[in-house]
Amino acid sequence: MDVIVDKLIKEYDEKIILDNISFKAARGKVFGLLGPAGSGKTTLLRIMIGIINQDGGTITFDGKPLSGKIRDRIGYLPEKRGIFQRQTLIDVLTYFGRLKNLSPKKAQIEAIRLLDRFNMIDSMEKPLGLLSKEMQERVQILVSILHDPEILILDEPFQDIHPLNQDVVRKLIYQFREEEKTIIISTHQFNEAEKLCDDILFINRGRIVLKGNLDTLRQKFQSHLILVEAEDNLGSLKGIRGVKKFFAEKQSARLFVDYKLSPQEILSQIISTVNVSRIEIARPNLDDIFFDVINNGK
Amino acid sequence: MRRIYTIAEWEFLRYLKSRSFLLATFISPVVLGVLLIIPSFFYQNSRLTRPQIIGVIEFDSTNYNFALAERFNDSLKTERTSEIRLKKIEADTSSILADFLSRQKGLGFERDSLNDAYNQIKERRKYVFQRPASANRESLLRQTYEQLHQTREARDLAVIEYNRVKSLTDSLIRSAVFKKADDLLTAQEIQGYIVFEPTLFKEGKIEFHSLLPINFFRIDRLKQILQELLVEERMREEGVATTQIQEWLKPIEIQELRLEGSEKIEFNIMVTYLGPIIVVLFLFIGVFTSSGFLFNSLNLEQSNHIIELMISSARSTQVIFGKLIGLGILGLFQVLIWMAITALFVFAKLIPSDEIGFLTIRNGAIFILYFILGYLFFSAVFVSVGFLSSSEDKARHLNQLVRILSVFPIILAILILESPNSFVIRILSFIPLLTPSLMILRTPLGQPPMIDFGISVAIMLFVIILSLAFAVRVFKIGTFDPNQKIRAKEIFSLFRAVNPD
Repeated sequence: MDVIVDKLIKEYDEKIILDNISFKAARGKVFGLLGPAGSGKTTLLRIMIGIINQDGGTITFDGKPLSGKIRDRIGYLPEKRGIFQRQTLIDVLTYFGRLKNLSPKKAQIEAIRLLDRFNMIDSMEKPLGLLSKEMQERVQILVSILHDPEILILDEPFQDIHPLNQDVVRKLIYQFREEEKTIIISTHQFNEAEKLCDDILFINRGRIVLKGNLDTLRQKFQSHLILVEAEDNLGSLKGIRGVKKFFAEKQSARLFVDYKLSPQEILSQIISTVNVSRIEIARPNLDDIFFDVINNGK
Repeated sequence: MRRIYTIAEWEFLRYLKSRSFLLATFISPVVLGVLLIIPSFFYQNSRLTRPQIIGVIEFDSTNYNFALAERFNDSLKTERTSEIRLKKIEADTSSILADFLSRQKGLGFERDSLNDAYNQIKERRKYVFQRPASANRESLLRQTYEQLHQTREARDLAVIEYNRVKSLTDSLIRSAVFKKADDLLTAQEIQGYIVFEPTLFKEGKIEFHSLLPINFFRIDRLKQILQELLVEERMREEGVATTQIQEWLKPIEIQELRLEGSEKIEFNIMVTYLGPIIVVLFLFIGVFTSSGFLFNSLNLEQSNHIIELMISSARSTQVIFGKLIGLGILGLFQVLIWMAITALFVFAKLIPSDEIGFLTIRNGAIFILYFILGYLFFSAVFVSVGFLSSSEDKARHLNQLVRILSVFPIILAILILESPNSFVIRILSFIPLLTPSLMILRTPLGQPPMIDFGISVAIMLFVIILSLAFAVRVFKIGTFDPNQKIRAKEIFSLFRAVNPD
C-alpha cells in the first residue's frame, strides 16, 4: 500500500511542529524517517496513524484517506513502549489482535502461531510481568505484527531495545519488504537506517532537509567527501579551492568539497599541497550527508 | 461497536479479577458494616444500655420502692427500654449512730412507760374521784394529783428529750444515707438515686441525684412511672377502684402511618430512613469503585504508554466508551452481588424482610437509573480532572474532593427526612454532583414529584453528554501532550467545540 503525505502541517501552541511535509512511502520499500530527537518524527507518525490530527495537508493510503479499515491494516510499534503486566501473554496478544478487528478465535490462533514462531509458546499462560524485559519487548513487537499488517510503522525500533530484539526487528523488516509491504521506520540512528532503508526523509525542526532514494542520495553526495592521510600538516589543505568544510584529526582529514568541481582537479591540488600517504574518495554515510545538508542549508 | 465491545469485555474481566474489586465488593461492605456495628456495639455495652441501677432513699413509709420495682419489671416486658434496677439505700449503723439509735430507743421506752404510768395514774385518780366518799379519798386525790403532775412533767420532759434525740438521730441518719448514696454514685455502683420525702404525696416532689450529665437525659421513663404511681395513689385516695385505675392508665398505642402516593404505609425508621442511606453508601461504593478503576486504568495506561498502542487500533472515543461500558457493567455486577447477598441474608432470616421493604421494584429501578447516571457523570469528571491536572498526585487529590462533595447529601439526610420535597432539597437535587445521592435518598422518603425525576434525569443526561465529550477531548490532549498544561483558554475552546473525534 502506497502512503502519500502531502503538505502536512502541525502546530502546537502556535509553534510549527511540522511544516509542509510531503513524501511517498511505496510498497515493498523501507521508508526511513530520519532526524535528530525532537525534529517531529513521532508527531508525523502519530498523525499518519490517526492518533493526533494534523492542522493542514493530507495523508492517503493507496489514494484513500485514513479510515477504520485502513487503520486495521497498519502495524504500529510506538517509541515509548509499555505492556500490561498482570495479564497472560496469550490474553494480551489476543486482545490487541481483536482491537485490530480480528475475530477472537482468529486473534488467538494468530497469537499462538506467532508465539510458536518466536519460541515463546511455553510462556503463553504466564503473566507478562513475570517475563524478562527482553521477552516483554518481543511481545510489544509481536503486537504490532499479529494481524499481518500491510503497513508497518516503527517508531525508533532500535532504541532502548535488547540486541536480540534488534535483530528480530531487522528480520521482520526484511520479511515485510520481501512480502511487498510498506515499512516506515523513524530513527535517529542513521547507521541502522543506512542498512535498512530504501528511501529516506530527513527532517529537522519540523522541516524537510533532504529526501529521496538512499542510493541516489549517496551517489549525489559521493564525490563530496575526500579522506586524506598524510605525514605533513594537514591544515594547509583548508585553503584549497573548493573545500567547503575541513575536519582534521592527527594525521587524517575529511574534506567536504564543492560538488561542481571535478574530483581529479581537487585530488591533484591535494597531492601537490601535502605528502599524501593515503587518499580516498569516500561514500558519505547518512551522518555525513545529514551533517553536510544541515550545515549547507540544503 | 466491535472495538468498544472488545475494550469493554477486557476492562470488565481485567478488573473483575483484580484484588481491588474483591476488596471493594466484599471487604468494603464488611468494613462499612463493622463501622456501623461498632458504635452500636459500644452503645449496647455502654452505661447507656447496661442495666441502670438507681438508688432509692425513702424518708417516708409508703414503700414506693417496691411499687416502682414492680412497675419497671412490667415495662421491661412490654417495651424496648433499658433495664432499670432499684436499690434501696439505707444508712450504715455505725457505732455513733447506733448509740444515738439506742438512746432514742431508750428514750422512746422511757417516754412510753411514762405515758403508760401517766395514764394509769390518771385512771386511778378517775377511779378515786368517782368512788363514794371515803376516809382517805382526799389524801388519795391529792396523792394521785401529785403523782400525775410529776409523771406528766417527767413524761413531757421525756418526750422533749426523745424528740430532741430523734431529730438529731434523723439528721444523722439522713446525712449518713446521703453520704452512702453519694459514695455509691462516686464508685459508679449506681447511676443515680431518687429521694422520697414524706411530703411526696402532698407536694409531688422527688429529688434525683446523679454524677454524669447523661443520666439526667435518661430518667424520662422513671419520671413517667413515678407520675403514674402518684396519680394511681391519688386516685385510690379518691376512692377509684384499682381495676378502673389500671384501665385508665393503660398506655395508648399510636400507629404511625405515612402517606406514600395513594397508599398509607406504616412508618419504620429503618425502612424509610436508614435503609436508603445505606443504599446510597453502597451505590456510591459501586460508583466510585468503577469510576476510580476508569481513572486508574487511563492514568496507568498513559504512564506506561499502552494507551498509544490502543489508540493506534481504536479511536479515543472508542477507548473511553469501551472502558466506560466495561467498568460500568462491572459496577452493576457489584451491585447485583450485594443484592444477591442481601437476598440470601433475608432468606436466612438474618435481615427481617420488612426492613428492606423500601427495595421495591420501582425504587430499585430508580436506584439503578441514578447509579448509572452517577457513574457516567463521575467517570467523566474523574477523567477530565485527571487529565487537566498537571500531575497524577494532584489529580488524585482533586478526585478525592469530588468524592467527598458527592456524598455530602448524607450530611443533609436529617433535612431530607424532615422535608424531602422542600424547595431547597429540590433545587439541590438538580445539581449534577448531588443529584444521584439526593434522588436516591428522596425516593423512599418523600415520593418526589414526577417532574423532579424528569428534570434531574434531563439535566444529568445533558451534563453527562457534555462532560463525556469534554473528557474525551481532554483525554486526547492530555495523553499525547502530557508535558503541556491545558490552559483556561483551551478549556473554554474545548467547551465551545465539544466534538470528539
